[in-house]
Amino acid sequence: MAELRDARVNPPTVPVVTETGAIKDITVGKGIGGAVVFSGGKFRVGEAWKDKGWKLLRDHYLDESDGPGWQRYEQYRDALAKGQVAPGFPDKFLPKSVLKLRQQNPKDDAAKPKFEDLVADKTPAPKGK
Amino acid sequence: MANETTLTSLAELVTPERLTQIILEEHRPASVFDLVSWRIDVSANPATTIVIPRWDKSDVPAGTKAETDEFTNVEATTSESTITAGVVGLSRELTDPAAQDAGVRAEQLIRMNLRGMAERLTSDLLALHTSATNASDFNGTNLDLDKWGTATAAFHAQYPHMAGMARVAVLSTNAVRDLKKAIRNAGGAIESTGRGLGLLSNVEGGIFMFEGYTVIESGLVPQFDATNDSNALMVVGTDGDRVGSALARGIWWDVKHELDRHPKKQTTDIVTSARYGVAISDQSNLRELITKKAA
Repeated sequence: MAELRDARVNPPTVPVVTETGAIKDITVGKGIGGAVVFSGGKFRVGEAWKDKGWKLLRDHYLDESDGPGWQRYEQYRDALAKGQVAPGFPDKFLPKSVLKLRQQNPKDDAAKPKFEDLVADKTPAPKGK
Repeated sequence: MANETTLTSLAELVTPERLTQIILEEHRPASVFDLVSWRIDVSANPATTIVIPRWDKSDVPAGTKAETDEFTNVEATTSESTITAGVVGLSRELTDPAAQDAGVRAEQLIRMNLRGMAERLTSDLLALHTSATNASDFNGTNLDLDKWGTATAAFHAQYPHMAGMARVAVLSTNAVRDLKKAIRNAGGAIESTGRGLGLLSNVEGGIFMFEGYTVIESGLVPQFDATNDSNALMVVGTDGDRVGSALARGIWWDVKHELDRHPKKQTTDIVTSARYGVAISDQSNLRELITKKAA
């Protein structure tokens, strides 16, 4: 992987899912101590970020045995880099685990359930006198 | 009229083109690595990695001690960041005929290499924005004054080491465009205080002050994804023995240039290299600010 440090080209970026379900591009290169490192022939999330709940998008797909889904995402990134498609990967093609993270971590309070809605079904009805 | 002496008449004497004595520099984003990072020189004490330890916060226990009790011990712990070295460089091979006929000297290529290396170091450092574990995620929306306020407040709530340090916002050209728009649209109140005036006349690579932050506009801000930028709020600087800089660059060897002569080929290799690594030295002193690219 000598090309990782070729000064004439940009280092690769690897899509990573954060603890809230956001997908971000992490730049990876020897000497760049970011969230993703390249070692032993593969990319992996650094320990400190792993502890926060970050995970490679590829691993989300593979954990759901959805290899073709990951290939579709790579196809999207490739087409995007060549300017062949408009930005925006459809949510329906994302791993279920990523969508679940997003559902559990909405960006604003308005999208969160109210406490009364959470407990409404579980709280026993008051006993009548 | 006939038989005028024209350019055609004197064709053999006409110089077809004349180069200026000055070669204009290439266009590239400004290199701001020195403005955003802490330099750790390990050239004299090299090891493969640099470890930056820091104290974890441990609090005084709640309550009070009863007269006959003993205090409960509070463990002091540390965390660390590490920087791993990588060799970055490039080589150019200049042939003697090219050097002679084009009048190009090795030092001209060296200067260009130096500018390229500075850009690369800046790019590597700013790439760390996306590895910040604290983020104000406004993806899909443009930066405005409210979002700026929300993000800076959230940053301050991380208790970054700001005392005696510089607060810096490294913004993409897109984000600066949107902040300028917000200031213009805010009208007289903001401009009468002078708060936004520096920003309005800023250029890429330029620096201006806005609400106590040194704002640096950089074309090297990384992308969060295809449609959003990964800007950052950070602390930069040192104050005596205290270090506040969120980003660190470990230097094993600084940029050096070497010439390698090949008499059999009649060429010269011009090799420029540096051995360095970059890392986030303290996550609490950094906050990613995600904003939309398009206007």
